[in-house]
Amino acid sequence: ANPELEAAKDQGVVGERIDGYLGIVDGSADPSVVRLVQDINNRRRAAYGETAERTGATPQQVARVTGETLIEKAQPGEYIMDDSGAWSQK
Amino acid sequence: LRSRGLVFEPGGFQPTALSERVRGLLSNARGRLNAGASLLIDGGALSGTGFFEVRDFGFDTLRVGAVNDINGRIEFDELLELHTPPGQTVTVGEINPGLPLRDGEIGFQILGPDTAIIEHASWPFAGGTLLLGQSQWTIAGTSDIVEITAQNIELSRLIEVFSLPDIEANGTVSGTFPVELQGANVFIRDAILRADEEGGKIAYTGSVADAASQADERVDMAFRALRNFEFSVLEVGADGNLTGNMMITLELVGTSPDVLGGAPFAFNIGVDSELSKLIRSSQSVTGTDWLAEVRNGSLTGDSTADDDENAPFANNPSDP
Amino acid sequence: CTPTVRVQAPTEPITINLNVKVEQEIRVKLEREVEDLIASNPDIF
Repeated sequence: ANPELEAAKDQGVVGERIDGYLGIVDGSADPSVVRLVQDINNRRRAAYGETAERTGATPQQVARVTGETLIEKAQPGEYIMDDSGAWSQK
Repeated sequence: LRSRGLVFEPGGFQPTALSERVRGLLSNARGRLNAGASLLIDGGALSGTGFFEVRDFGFDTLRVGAVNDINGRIEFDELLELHTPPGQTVTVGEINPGLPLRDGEIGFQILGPDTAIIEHASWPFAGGTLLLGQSQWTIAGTSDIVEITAQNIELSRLIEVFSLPDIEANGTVSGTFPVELQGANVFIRDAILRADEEGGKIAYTGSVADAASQADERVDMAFRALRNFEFSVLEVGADGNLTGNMMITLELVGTSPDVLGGAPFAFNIGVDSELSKLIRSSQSVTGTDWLAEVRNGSLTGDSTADDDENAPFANNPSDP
Repeated sequence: CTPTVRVQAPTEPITINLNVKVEQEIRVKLEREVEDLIASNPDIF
C-alpha cells in the first residue's frame, strides 16, 4: 500500500470517488497532497486505459467498476463520494 | 553543469527522487533524459539557460492516459522560470486519449511551470491527418479545450479503425471541432465530418435484423439501395465522451443505380456506442451486431440523439 | 386496357431513420479484472 495515501485517507483529507479517482475532501489541502492526488490519478488513468485495451471495455467503465470496488473496500470513517458528488463518511 | 544520462523506470528511479515538486507532473516516468544547464550569477541575480533531451521517454497523464516514446530536445532560454523560446518540437510515439494516436509531432512553447502554448500538433489517422490548432495548455492542469481538424480521413480506413463489419466505403471526410478535456473525460461536442467534394460510395452488405423494419417495404428497398450506394451528401457526426459513451450519427443522401432507377434516398443513422470498445480488434463487432437492435425511428421522424453526460460529474478529480 | 402501375421515382428522397445501440455489457469479467488490477498496483489503490 502507499503510506502517504493511507495517511491522507486516515486524516480525512483524501477520499475515493465512484468514478475511480481520488478526490480531495476539503478544498484547502496543502500542495503536497494535491501533487500526491495528481500523481496517483495520472497513474490510475493509464492503468484503466491499459485494462480497457485488454478487456474491450472503455477506460471509463474500468474506472467506474474500480471506484465501486474501492468504495466497498473503504474502511469505516474514510471519505467516499457517490454519484451525488457529495462526500460522505463510510 | 551537465547531467549524465538519467534513466527512469516505473517502480525504480523517478523524477521525484530529484525533487518532490515534480510529483504529479511526470508520473511513472520511463526512458532516458539528458539535461544541461549553464547558470549565470550577475550582480546577485541568478539566471540560466539549459536543455532537456529525451529518448524513448514516457509518463502517465490523467487526461490522455499513457504517453510513450517521446523523442526530442527542449531548449530553455530562462531555465529557472521553465521558459522556452517558441518552436520547440518533439515526436510522440503513442498517446491514447480514447483513440490510439501514433507517430505524432508536437510544436510548442513552455511559458512557465503551469502553462504552455501548443503551436501545432499532427497525427496520421485513418489515411488522413488529425491536426491540433494553436491552443493554450495548462501543464498538469485538469481541463483544456483544443481544436482538432480532421483532414481527408478515408472512410475505408475509418471502418477498419472501428472494425465495423459488412460495410465498405470510399471517399474522404474532413471537419474541425472542439475537444474538451476535463479530468479523465474527453468530450467531443457535435463534431461534424463532411464528405470532401466528389462524394463517394458505400456498400452495406449486412442485413437488417429487426423483423419489423423488414416488413416495411420501403425500409427493405432502402437497404437494397445501401448495398450499392453513391452518396452526394455524407455527414459523420460525433458527440459524447471519447473514453465513454459516444453518439455517432451518419447522414447520408444519395442514390443507387439498382433501386427505383436511382431514386434519391436519405438515411439518418444514429449509433450510440462505447466507441473505444469498437476499436479493439479482439472485441470486433461481428455480423450485423452493430445494426442488430435497430430501433427504427418513424420512417420520416428524426432520430432522437439523447444527450450523453455519462460521467456522473465532469469536474476534475483532483480539483483542490 | 388495364392501367399499368409504374412506380414513379419520387423526387422527395425516401427518408430512413435508424437508431442503433451497440450494447456490449461485459461487467462480470470486468469485476475480476479490476480485483487483479487493484491487487497488482498497491501503490496507487
